[in-house]
Amino acid sequence: MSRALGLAALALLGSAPGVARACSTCMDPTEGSRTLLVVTIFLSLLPIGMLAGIGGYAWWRAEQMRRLAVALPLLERT
Amino acid sequence: MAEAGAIPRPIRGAPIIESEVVAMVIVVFCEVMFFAGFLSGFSLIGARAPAGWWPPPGDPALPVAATGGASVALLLSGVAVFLAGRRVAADRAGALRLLWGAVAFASAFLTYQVYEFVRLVAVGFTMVSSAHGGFFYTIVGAHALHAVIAVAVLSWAVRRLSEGALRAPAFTAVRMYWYFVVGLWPVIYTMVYL
Repeated sequence: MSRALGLAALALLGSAPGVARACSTCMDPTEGSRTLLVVTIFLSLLPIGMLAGIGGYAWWRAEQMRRLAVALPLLERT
Repeated sequence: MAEAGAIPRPIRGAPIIESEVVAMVIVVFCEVMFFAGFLSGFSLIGARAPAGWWPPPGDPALPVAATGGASVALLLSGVAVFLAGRRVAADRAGALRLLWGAVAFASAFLTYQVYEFVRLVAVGFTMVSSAHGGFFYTIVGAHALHAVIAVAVLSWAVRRLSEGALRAPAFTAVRMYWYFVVGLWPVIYTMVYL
């Protein structure tokens, strides 16, 4: 019972936006909104871009090794 | 036993990317996000300030020209490490000379930064004097700390290379960290100083 009450209190607290304050910049829609948008896009895309770059490099290396493994026996025969 | 002049076969089951390089990729990934967060915060605070109020009027002007000169030293250290990486297989002694040069250039950069910090603190520009000061010392100080670590790691690599005990993947990882530290600086310089 007390656990359920505690959970309900936590849920209520979590759903009260006035209590949970975000950073001051995010709360102000008028000032620096363009910069906020640019920064949000930048920070969202940066990890994805880096992961894509790392994945692309790993794929390129794997492809390079595969081609080498195919080509070497042919080269040794000549 | 392999014949002399035979083309080495790729080792079966060899990793696509060596462990040292994977570890460094993870480190650099986290570091990029760390600095991106701080630089984004710095940009947002600057954008929110009223016109003419960023940097705050009471703060001293940052030494743009002198720091630009020190930046050249750091960039030269990056070039030296790049050339050492290209030369290490064919000319170990030449690569060692280049790496020592890189350590010297980076040390000159760090020495200048200490001097700059001391001078700025002396005129009252501190971590708590303004938000600008807080961001300045956090961002530039964090980069300087990374540069100190990079110099220590590079010195370790120089010692191992002179002993002939430096593994190629370890050297690649060291160079990756160095390129990160050197490549990040122009971004910080442009955003914080200019």
